[in-house]
Amino acid sequence: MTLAAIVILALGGLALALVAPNFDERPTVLGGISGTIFAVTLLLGFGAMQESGILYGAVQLGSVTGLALVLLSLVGLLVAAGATVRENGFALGTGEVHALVMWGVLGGVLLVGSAHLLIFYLGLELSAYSTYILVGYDRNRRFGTEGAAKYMILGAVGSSLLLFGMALVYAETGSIGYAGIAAGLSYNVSALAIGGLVLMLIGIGFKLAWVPFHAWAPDAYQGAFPLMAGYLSVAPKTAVALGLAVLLARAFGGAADMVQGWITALAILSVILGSIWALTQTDVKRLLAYSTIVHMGFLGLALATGLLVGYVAVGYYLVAYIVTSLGMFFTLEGLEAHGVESNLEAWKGLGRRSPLAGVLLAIFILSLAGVPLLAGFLAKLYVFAALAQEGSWAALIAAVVMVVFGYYFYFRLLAALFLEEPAAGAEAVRLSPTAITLMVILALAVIALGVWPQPVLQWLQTAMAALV
Amino acid sequence: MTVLLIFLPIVAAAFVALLDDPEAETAKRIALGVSLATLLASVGVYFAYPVASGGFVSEFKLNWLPLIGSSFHVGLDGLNLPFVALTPLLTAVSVLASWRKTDKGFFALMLLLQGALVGVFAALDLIVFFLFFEAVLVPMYFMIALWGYEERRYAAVKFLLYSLVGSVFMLAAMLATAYLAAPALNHISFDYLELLGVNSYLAALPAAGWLFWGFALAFLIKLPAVPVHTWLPHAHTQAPTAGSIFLAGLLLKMGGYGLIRFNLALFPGELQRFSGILAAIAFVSIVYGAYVTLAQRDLKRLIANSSVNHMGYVLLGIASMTAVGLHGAVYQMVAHGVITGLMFLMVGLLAERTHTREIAAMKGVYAAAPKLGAVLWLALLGGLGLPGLAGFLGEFQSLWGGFLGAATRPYVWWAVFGIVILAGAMLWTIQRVLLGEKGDDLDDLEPHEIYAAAPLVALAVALGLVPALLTPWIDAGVQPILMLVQEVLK
Repeated sequence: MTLAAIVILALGGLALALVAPNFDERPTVLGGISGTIFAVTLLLGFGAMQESGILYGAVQLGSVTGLALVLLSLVGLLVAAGATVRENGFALGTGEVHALVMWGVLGGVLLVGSAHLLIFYLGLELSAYSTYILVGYDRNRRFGTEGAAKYMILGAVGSSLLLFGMALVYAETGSIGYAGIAAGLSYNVSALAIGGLVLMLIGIGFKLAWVPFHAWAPDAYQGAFPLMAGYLSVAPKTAVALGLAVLLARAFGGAADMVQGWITALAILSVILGSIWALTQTDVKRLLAYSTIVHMGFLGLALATGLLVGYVAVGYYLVAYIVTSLGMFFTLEGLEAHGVESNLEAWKGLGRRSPLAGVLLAIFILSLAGVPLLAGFLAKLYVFAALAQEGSWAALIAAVVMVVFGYYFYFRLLAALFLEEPAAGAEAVRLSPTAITLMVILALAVIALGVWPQPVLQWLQTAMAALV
Repeated sequence: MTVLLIFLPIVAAAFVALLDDPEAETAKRIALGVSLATLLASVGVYFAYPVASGGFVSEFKLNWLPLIGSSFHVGLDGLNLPFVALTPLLTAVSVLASWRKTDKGFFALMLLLQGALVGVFAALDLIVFFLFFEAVLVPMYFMIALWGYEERRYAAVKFLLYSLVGSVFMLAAMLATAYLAAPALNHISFDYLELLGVNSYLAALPAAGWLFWGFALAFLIKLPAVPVHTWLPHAHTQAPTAGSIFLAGLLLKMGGYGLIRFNLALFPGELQRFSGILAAIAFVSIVYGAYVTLAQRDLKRLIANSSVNHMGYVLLGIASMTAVGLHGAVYQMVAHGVITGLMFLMVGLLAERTHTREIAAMKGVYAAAPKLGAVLWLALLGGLGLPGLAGFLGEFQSLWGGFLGAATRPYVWWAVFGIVILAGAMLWTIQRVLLGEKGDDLDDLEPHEIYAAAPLVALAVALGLVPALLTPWIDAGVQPILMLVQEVLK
């Protein structure tokens, strides 16, 4: 089933890119095709639970791959729907955008399903190249090209470090298959292997935007149009986080504990510094970039525990973050389409100019902050529970203290929305019905996940059990 | 029933928020109706509670987060029932006090607060308690920040940050408690009753002191106790009248309730170990709170600061770890909810008429508006602990309990001066504000304002004269905890 989904994604992307020019006048048709394909692959993802290898064992299709397929298809589906928020489509062709998103998703699925470093690298690059293009897609945006260039150069540095690390690991263990590496690292991790693992983790850290490898994120977010910034904030992160979990569980063998220690250090650094830097931001998308850095830090803390609770926390964090972050960026997209720039100055009094947008934004922001009864709170709760179960009290204290910082900078957004007066002469903002429907669905999902997470958690627990 | 008491107001809040009601005419009627209906229901549960046998009634348990061992578990007993009944009452009073407001959002927030507060008091699972404890903050923040007085934003942020600092440490302590208790239970559980069963195991943990302070910090901030009380004068003064009633009447009680429910019941050994420190904090709160009250120029701020003094007695009663002291602490909390709620209501109505809160700018209110003046007079006398009104019994029992407790006794000798100082402050306020020649003309209380004040006046008198309305419930709630405590301390 998963194999079928992979093939469908590859061909679907191709087809979209080929037929696209014929439909540029009718962007909804393209969105419909793309959305249908993602809906199919999403359902196929639920069908995949048996562990089986294909391509001589280089790709492992199993419950975790199925999980990745579901989450990434969900992202694709939502982005395809979100693209319709732009009523006139994209100046440089709408079909290409959908095709690139689809290939990005394909790369992400391969990345998680890989049991071989080469496939891991290919998947990573396929997903990364799609996002490089998407970030700079709108040539007319003020910071678009700059953000894309920075993102691409730093991304290339990260990729080459990752590749170099893989070479060192190969030199030590004589294998680039996960099982072979795990066997080679099962005892006595040599200095060479440590060097290789460090470089690999740095490469992965670039993709997850962990401090100190995060510098590209604020620029890329600011430069991209909001929809793509939203895609950027969830899709590559979902893929790389799950891919790293698979690496930890299946490839790093005896070295996994050590790598987990490094991840904890990077994650704490991301949570603390990201929160502090976020305090001074005035551009909403830059602020959300730092918010992503902090969220990836929390996620890393859970990942580093290596416990089932930790992996479930990672999965739930991703689900919660996908609906919350996409909801947030869709709203931004809708607002920018009506001339409301994404900065605190333009947001003043927005809650009065558009009460509906204000309330929806408030739900997403509160979920990002981790206020109870919304998805974001339970995500953090599971991270904390994983830390407590592992007995990492110092990390737990650091994490809970930074939640307070988080509240502070998210409440600055709320303050701008509701407590400030609108600028003189500002008119009411009316969002399109499509945009409103989409945002309301996502807001309801945020609430539902926070109040009744049981089905999702159960599903995650079953899927993640393959990793422990 | 418990679930209904929690979620009916929350659902109603969502409904009110979605109404197309620019003048809030329907919204305020729905809010009043829901709060009165839940009030009736909770009073029914209150009087139906079997005080002789005790235990929990209307329990509800739903598997919620099985992997980390938390379930949606709520229930009512003698300790939380008084607060569960007080919550809808004060909501109804607040709705009446805000009858002139034209924003439906304001009424939605009140209903949200009501539901969340009942959730806090009824929660029997640590995570659920935390959930509601946090959920209270958001509507309160907006109530202060959007509808408060001139420095509302500063006050709202300060309130939020103080509360959050406390609650994140409480969350860490909760997680640690559940995971450290797991070996004794053979599974991870956040269930309060299960954890209560292994509190002797918890007492033996080397980290027990840290856990105790993790909880205590959140509750001392909420209470509030000196030196973490500085959010209170701002928040209470800047909040709109309804917000002040909620803050003083109910939010502060979350602190005292939590101290008894969690710190005393789960960590009695640590409470005994640190009771000297807590008693000292209580003593400082009582005396310092009274002195600061004496120095205020702003009438609302004066009442806010008197709360620091009043809640000091609560802490003193708890620190004594005696039956009388605990009894007094709970009695004092309920009495303070009624009387301070009444004080804020009257001061709010007065400030609406005079357009100032400066004490120096007011005089002869009693002569100008006899009904308003009389109720405020009664409320201020209640605030100083006049025998015959509810506050006296609470303060007296707390002090008596403090005298019986070994750790608290040295402080009680001096804490009684707090009574004298506060009495001075209150009487002086009566003299400055109520007495004297008639100043400007003031409108007297309108019918809906009289309806708002009447139940509180009646309760303040009834609880002062007929303690049997409350005492058996407190006994039923506190005695089982005390028995457990004594077992652990042996």
